[in-house]
Amino acid sequence: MQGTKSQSFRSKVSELGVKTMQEIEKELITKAGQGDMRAFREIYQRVSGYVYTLAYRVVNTKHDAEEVTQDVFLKIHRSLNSFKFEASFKTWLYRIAVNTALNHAKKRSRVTRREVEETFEDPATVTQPDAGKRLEAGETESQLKILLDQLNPDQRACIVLREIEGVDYQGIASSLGININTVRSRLKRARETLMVLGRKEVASHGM
Amino acid sequence: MECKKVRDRLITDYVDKELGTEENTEVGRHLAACSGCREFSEAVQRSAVIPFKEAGEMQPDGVVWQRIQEKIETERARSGNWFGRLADAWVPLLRMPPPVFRVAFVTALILVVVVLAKWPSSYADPAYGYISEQMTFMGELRSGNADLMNGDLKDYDQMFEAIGG
Repeated sequence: MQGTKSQSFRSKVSELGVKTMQEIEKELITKAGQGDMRAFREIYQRVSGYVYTLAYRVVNTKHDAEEVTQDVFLKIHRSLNSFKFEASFKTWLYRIAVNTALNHAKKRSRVTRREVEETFEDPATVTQPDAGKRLEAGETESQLKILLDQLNPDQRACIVLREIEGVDYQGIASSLGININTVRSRLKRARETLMVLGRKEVASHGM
Repeated sequence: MECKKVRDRLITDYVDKELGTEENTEVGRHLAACSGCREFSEAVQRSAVIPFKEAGEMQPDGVVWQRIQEKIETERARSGNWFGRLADAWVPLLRMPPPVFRVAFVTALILVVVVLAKWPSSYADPAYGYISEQMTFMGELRSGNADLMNGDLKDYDQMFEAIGG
């Protein structure tokens, strides 16, 4: 097939995030699996941003993203000693994260307007060193939040894995335990919704 | 290629680079000739692709790690005692989603009904009758009821006479 069906699951996270994800050494994983809390904490420090961000995109609130992050790391802690290194650690991690987030999101009701505003006002949710960049990043995050809020959890999970994690259709299908046509259909519905929103915004700005 | 089919591809496989070579070329050829589909393709990019390109990474608050650490320590303490291990084995069953509970309950109910339905008629069961009779006899032996025993012995006497014993 033509096109970049990249198996490297390139991420849109910051450069630091990409570097740290790639640097989870086998030895560190093994130590943490044997109960070494310092090794586990090291893993947490390196990948918690990745997990939290992925969770946040699916559940769309800070509180829920924190709960999901906790659940994910507890699951990882319980399963590390049986991690077989057959798939990459990152693949294993994002599958646990997205499925935990998805299950959590489906149990919860839609985000209230109050929660949207609280998160909008919280500048600490995005890490950018420069104040100007922080403001810009905050605006981008708010816009993303508004967009993702239009989608249901299943659509959010597919869009996030595709657009932010760069996972191909087969990867999304196996991560979520669905077939490729379902992936295609959810992406289509999600994008149609976003396009309708885009047209409404254009109309409301009188462009 | 029809516009409807092209737009279906534009919003899915084409934008995600999942199309085969031949179909990719066909779509490209159609876009070159159709301004409506070109605008549609640009709208897909504008509304559904570009907004995600600038997504950054967020960090959880410090309290998240504290909670994780506390739960790990609690789990370690529980796994050290038998009650904790027992609870850990049973608690997941209580957290099963309702449909599983319903299926399990119905299955158990069916089993109980089947077992009860096949339950004796045991009083008409010859094996049960024999066992019951023998148990009564053994009970009488212990009690020393001579009349009953004599009655039984008389029957044996008659039997021996009959066979020339």
